[in-house]
Amino acid sequence: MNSHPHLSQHRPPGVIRADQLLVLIGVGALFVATWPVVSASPTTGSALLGLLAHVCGMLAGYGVLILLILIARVPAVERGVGADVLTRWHARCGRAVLALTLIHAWAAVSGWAQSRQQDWPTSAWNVLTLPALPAATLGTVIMVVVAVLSARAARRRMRHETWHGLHLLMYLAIALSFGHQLAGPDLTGQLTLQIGWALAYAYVFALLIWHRLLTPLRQAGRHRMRVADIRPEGADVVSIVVEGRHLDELRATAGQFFRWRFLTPDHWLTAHPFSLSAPPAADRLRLTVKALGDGSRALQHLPVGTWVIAEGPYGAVTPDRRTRRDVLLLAGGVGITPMRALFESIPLRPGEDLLLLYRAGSPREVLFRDELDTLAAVRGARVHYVLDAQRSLFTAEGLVRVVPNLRDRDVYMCGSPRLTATLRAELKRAGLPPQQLHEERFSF
Amino acid sequence: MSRPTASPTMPSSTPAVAPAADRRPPRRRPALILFAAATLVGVWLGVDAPDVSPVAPPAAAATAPAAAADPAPDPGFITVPAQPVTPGAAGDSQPVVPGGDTGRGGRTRGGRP
Repeated sequence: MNSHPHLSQHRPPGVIRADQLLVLIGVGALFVATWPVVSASPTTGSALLGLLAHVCGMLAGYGVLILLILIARVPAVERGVGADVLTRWHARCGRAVLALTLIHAWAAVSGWAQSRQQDWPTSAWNVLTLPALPAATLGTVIMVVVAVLSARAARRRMRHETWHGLHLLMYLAIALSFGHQLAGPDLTGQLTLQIGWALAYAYVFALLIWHRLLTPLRQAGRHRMRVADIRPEGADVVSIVVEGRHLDELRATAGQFFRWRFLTPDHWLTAHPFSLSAPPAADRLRLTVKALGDGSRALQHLPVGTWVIAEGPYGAVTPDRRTRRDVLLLAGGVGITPMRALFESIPLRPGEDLLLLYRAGSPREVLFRDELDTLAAVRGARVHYVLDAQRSLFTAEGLVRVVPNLRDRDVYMCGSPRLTATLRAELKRAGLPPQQLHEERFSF
Repeated sequence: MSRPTASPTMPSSTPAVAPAADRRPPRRRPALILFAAATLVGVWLGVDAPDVSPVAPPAAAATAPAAAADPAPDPGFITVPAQPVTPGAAGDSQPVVPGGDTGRGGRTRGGRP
């Protein structure tokens, strides 16, 4: 057994794990869904429709809270769960909230129609003209529009900045529907519940304001980051060195990323997520950017001296996740950036092995070659460049051939979605326990 | 948590970890102010919320002035048969709408004559 005193078997204290967060969300959902049931005793068809409307409405309101918590960038959650997982949960939760809202609306109107013997359009009109309903309906329409534009096919056709701007309309949709939530039949007449519901929303918005607005602004004032240097690393790839003060207070580690907001007329509205490509120092951070879209291409020509606001650090793929003595790093293309930082900073003691397998299309596309070779020599680690001719190495058989003790290693991985999907399957086939695979999935 | 370290490939002009004297003490006051503000806003919104749901439609058969003034229960509840009050509620022999008693002083959700 490869146990070792300095290796952690658990997450560091002060973080919320994915399973803990799911349990909390589930318990809340159970309470919210049960409340309309225990507070009413429906026995007829229309009453059942009403109950369906109430349960879906309550769950949709609760789902909005969860949606916001998942993107509030609370460090304990980001570090314990991982930003990529939170983003995926956010997208799924968004679809669920939309479905619940539409079912809620349909069931409420249908229940009205049945109970009052009216046709559906008349009932819909009557319901829509009730107090707070026009605003809630407008909020729902905005929600549907944003959801449609967030669908993968639609999103591919628009600039990230445009999509992001439209996504901000969700806050308007939430504000428009909030009055209807508090005035819903399941909360009215229950002062404690109404206060509790309003407090939940107020606290979640406070979390958002704190972590997404005030903290970055405070960090900007404290650290005063500016672009110090832009270095070409390869074709369409540059490293941006950012200097600042007291950067150690950020407590960033290798493997993490920041959301970088460069204060130029073209970029200040958008925060770009990029990993650190070198371990953080007390006065400088380095990120490496490949031109893959309009935004990242423009970043290649940032003027030196540009002010920077960095939100973060985020990301859970850090040396803290390590549970085994030997480590394998797998990188593909520009996914080398966090692996490069980990290659330098993962603790390595005598007798331990650190191996980096770096997949690139051609020798010209290999980034940081000099740095990686230097680090390997200094640290007693190993690096293999896997080019097109050796692609069979990234199969279960190839990996076991190069890394015979693969099953007894921690594996850190970063690359394109296609490459990491393939590697994930091959690592599983090779017998790597899933808890020893550490990755964050991002599209490039 | 691993600490920032001096990098052989990215030289730094300052120590990797700042001396304790230069460290900024944690600032709790802004967080407390935001927490207090959120509490005030939440309580205010909750207290200011309506006692009776406007979603509940007006009763179709309400003819008596008192009944017409009260909002009727929403579609999910109006077809539930009225039930007599249990003997424990002595003195009140009127039927009640299930769910109509809110337990919040005299505020009712609707339908209670």
